[in-house]
Amino acid sequence: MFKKLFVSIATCLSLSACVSLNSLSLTQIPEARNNTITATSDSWNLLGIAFSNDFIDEAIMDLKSQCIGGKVEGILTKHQTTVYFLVFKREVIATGYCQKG
Amino acid sequence: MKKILLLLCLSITGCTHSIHMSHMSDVSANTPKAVNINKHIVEVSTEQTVILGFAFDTEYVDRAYQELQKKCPKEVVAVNTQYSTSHGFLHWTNKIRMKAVCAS
Amino acid sequence: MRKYFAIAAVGLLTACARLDHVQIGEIDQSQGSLTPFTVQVSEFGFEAAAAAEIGRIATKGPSSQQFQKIRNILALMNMGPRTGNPVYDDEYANKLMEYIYAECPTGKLTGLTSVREAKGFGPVSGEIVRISGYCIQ
Repeated sequence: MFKKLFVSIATCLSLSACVSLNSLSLTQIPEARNNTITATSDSWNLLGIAFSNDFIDEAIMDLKSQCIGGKVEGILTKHQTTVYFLVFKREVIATGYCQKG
Repeated sequence: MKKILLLLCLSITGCTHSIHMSHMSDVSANTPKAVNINKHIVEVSTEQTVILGFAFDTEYVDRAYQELQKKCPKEVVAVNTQYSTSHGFLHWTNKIRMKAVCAS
Repeated sequence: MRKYFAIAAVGLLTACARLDHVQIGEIDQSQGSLTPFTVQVSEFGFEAAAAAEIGRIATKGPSSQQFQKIRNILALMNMGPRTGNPVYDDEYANKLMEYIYAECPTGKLTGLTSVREAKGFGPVSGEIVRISGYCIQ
């Protein structure tokens, strides 16, 4: 019994930090690509049970704050999930270019 | 009968795919006319092979993003992004295809 | 008899239309009149392992065990994340951009909506990618 338990735990731990991509999108990319900005927000959920998706707004606010008065273009948005032992990390990563002036 | 069933299984296995999403971005005013579109289309594809679920990054997405920009130093419009998976025996291949119009 | 009734009930209650992903782009109505268009591509989706499972439930004895073995083999041979039923050709959506520009020769597009959906019945479905939008005249 302990052997089975050990094998189960070892399997779960070895499959930890496995990441899967849920969705992605890419907007139009400008010609001027000097100023790269990146924003990441995440949500940790026990057993994958989530009660809100408000963490997405954090990524948007972060992206906006890095480009005040400018235009954010060429945004690559990734929504991915990383699985740890019993805990899921949902993540939104947005990378883009800030155009000012 | 068993052999026929086994052959049938093998013939239709390891060749299935699944498109998860296909997204079309906005199109700016700089886009070329439809008549000339084929000359301006750029396409990149990247893949990630995952064995038994062991995958520790999504770097292949960033790679596709970088390659698309390398292929088109000008403005990239009308980006069609597709994310699909090709299934196999105890492994699968995640694929990203980015097809866009290079405005010049 | 109860088994067939159960299978029929499950079949009838399975979703006929499924929406997986939708994204709406910006809509610009200030450049001129808008003419709507829709481009749709689809491919036959078939979940062989689910079909084998139906066979396992519908039969008895050695046949049921055969279907169980087939189901297990199919599940192992076609492993991986999936949206809807798997298809046998993943290039059916490769020409979307060309079709969109064929619908709108001016190349001026707005309000592009990307939809990944399916229409099906149990292990068989039509996996659809649809892009709709407006052509600015």
